[in-house]
Amino acid sequence: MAKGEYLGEFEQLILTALLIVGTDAYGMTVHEQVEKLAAGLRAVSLGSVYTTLDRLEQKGYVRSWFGGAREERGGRSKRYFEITGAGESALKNALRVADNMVAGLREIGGLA
Amino acid sequence: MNRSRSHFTLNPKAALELSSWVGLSDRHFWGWAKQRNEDITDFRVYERGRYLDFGFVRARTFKHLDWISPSDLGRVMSIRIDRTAPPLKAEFLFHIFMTPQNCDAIVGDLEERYKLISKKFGHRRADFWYCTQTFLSLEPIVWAWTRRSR
Repeated sequence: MAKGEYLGEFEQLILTALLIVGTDAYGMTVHEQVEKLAAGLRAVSLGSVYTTLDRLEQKGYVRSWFGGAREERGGRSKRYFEITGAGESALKNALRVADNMVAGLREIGGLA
Repeated sequence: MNRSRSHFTLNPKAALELSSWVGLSDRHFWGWAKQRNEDITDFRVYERGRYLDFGFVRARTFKHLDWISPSDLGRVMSIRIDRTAPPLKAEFLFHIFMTPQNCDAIVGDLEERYKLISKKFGHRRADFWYCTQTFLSLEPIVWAWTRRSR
């Protein structure tokens, strides 16, 4: 795996949130889901969600498109996001590494 | 009697003309109109923070609303404060560092959540959330912009 293909912790959170939210994934729903996943362990701003999604799109892990304007949004359009195949496999690889870490620690009794 | 209501975003040319005509600063107009049988009876245009009610509009169908010009509109019946508007104009801050479409999407997200919080917990909490979220969001956006422009 090349260096650029590694996913940071926040990138993993965002991709997981995208998978959980599914077809209705836009800034606000992804932000809400990431906040739930982070469970108060880190502060999550909408701006950081957007910049990370932009970065993931540049890497080819996410694709986005703009949707229709709605009244509750002041007539502004939504930016929808979807995880790509490459994004899913990158997330799987990252989670496999995390699983190995947890298993390794459990073996030596490092995680009670 | 057939009644329906439609939301629309005013086309940029009409929005530009309308902004100079009625003396509004914003060029991002949107609103809704009601149709009774063949006629459009009510027409409301929102600008951030307030809205304008027009007596009539010269447009047969909702489809025509995308192409209306100020001359198609009747006189402004009233200008009212929109109490559901957020406390500050976040787009002025984000516009410098983001593309217009991205800026539109993030401000729309903030406004959508603002209205939800406002409904559930009241204006004060929603105002606090909006301001905090706007300023917290600036840092990563400015960083990303700096990295891009290097």
